[in-house]
Formats: sequence, C-alpha cells, structure tokens
Amino acid sequence: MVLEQVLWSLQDNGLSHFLDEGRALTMVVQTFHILGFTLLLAVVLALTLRVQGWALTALPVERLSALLSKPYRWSLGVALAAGVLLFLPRAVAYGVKEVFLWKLAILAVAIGAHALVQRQARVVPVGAAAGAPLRSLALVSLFLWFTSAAAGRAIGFV
Amino acid sequence: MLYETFFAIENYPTVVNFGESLFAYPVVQGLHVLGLAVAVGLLALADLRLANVLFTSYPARAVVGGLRPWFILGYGFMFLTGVLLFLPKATQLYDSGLFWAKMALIVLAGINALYFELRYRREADEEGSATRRKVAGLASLGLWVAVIVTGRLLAYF
Repeated sequence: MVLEQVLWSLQDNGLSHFLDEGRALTMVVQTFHILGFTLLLAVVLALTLRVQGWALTALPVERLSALLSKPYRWSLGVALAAGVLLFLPRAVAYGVKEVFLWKLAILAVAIGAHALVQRQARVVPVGAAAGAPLRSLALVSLFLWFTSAAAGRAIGFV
Repeated sequence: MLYETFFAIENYPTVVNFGESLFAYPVVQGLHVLGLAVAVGLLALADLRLANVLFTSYPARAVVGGLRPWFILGYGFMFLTGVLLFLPKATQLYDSGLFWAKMALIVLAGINALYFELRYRREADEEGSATRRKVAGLASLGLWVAVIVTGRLLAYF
C-alpha cells in the first residue's frame, strides 16, 4: 500500500507527465541509457579481461583500474540518470514487476562487487598478476553487470 | 530483385517461427544489445586512446592491440545476432530509410577502421601521426554513436 502510494507520487507529477508526453524526449533518454550502459559494461569488461590476464597486458592492473574509474563513474551516472527518467512515467507498472526489482537488487550488488574489484586491484603490485580471489571476484562482478543489463532488457517483455 | 529476395527470406518457415516467437526473438534482441558493450564499448575505449582522451600515458598500439581481438569477437557476435534480427523483418527494413542509413554508417565505420589499420597502424605512436590518429578515433566514435542512435530510432519508425 505504501509502495503503491510512493510509485503513484513518482508517476503523477509534472516531470513524469512531461517525460511521458514527449516521444522524441523518450527516444533521446533511451539513447543516453544505451550509450551509458554500453560504455559502463565495456569498462567493467576491460578491467575483468585485464585482471584475468587476457587483454591489455601492457598496462598494470592497478593503473588500468585507476584510469577506468573516471569513465566508470561517468557512464554509471549517465545510465542511472537516464534509467530513472525512463522509470518515472512508468513507475506504477514497473515498480511492482518482479524482474524490475531483481534488476535493482542485482545492480546494487554489481556496484558493490565492482567497488571491491577496484579496491583489490589498487594493491596488485606493478608487474604482478592478479591473485585468484581478485580474478574470481572480477568474473562475478562481470556476470552481475551483464545479468543486470539483461534484466533491464527483460522489463519491457515480462 | 532485392525486395523479392528479402520477401522470400522473411517467409521461410523457420524465419516466420522465429519472428513470431515470444521468447527467442526478444532473447536475441537482448543479446544484440549486450553485444554492443563488447563490440562498440571496447572499441570506444580504444578510440578514446586514439583521440588522446584516455590511457594517454600508454602507447596507442598497446591499448588498441590489447583490445582488438575482443572487440573483433564482439563484432562477430553483433553481426550474427543482427542478421537474425533482420531476417523476420526483411521487407519492413527494406522500406526503411533509417535501416539503410544505419547500414551506410556501419560501412563508413568499417572503411574508417580499415583505412587506419592498413595505413597508420604501424606508425600509430609516432609524433607525426597524432592528428591522423585523433581524427580516426573521433570519426570511429562519432560513427558508432550514430549507428546506435539510428538502431534505436528503428524501433520507432
């Protein structure tokens, strides 16, 4: 009941109505959402591949993690902001969907997992390979990010 | 002639079943979108190095070369899923200007990549090639963003 009221208040306001009425605006926001998560997943993938020793081996793990932190923050910010704008006009319908709630939960865990990967990557000595715990954690993080994106895609169908 | 071919493809029984599937078609759509991250996303990181925006303290050859096998693999996957998505909508896409615009942009992006690879790959880190490298990186980024935008618009028009 409380959740329903919250969802209605998110959907029934000036901003949500504005977003709902402009088809062109929706297309622009969707495009930013796609561009944001495309770069976001690529950043997570690039770091995972490096941690496994499968790509970018000329760059130390610690340096790559530091260099990717800015594009990670930017792309996450764009994907999240655009995602919220896409959610608002459909809050009542989406907010009770199981797949949407799963997406949010997986996304939260993925953000946490990536933060852990970044923290552990920072202490990998230059020239050394990442240890098994970091390699496993990076794979889990990558799986979580792609699952979250797939769940987002499923929201429109399930 | 081309339209007739598209019509025949679209009406092939397996293609009809795939297009009408409530499960298979959306799954392939999802895989195509996820493939974007592997193909366009990783290429974007390489392009940002060519454009001198990211990884600037490391040689362009090391960054682009380190990512190349993966984004090529990604493009293979995108091509495969893209063809599957095209088949059940062949005639509809034939009549869409946006579809042909998207194909033209992909061809342009391919020519840009091929031209850079063949002419400047070896001298990517030489001082004299900085401008060419930057232009190639920015052109690639711009073209692939345009491909994503037209792909998104196809769902509406």
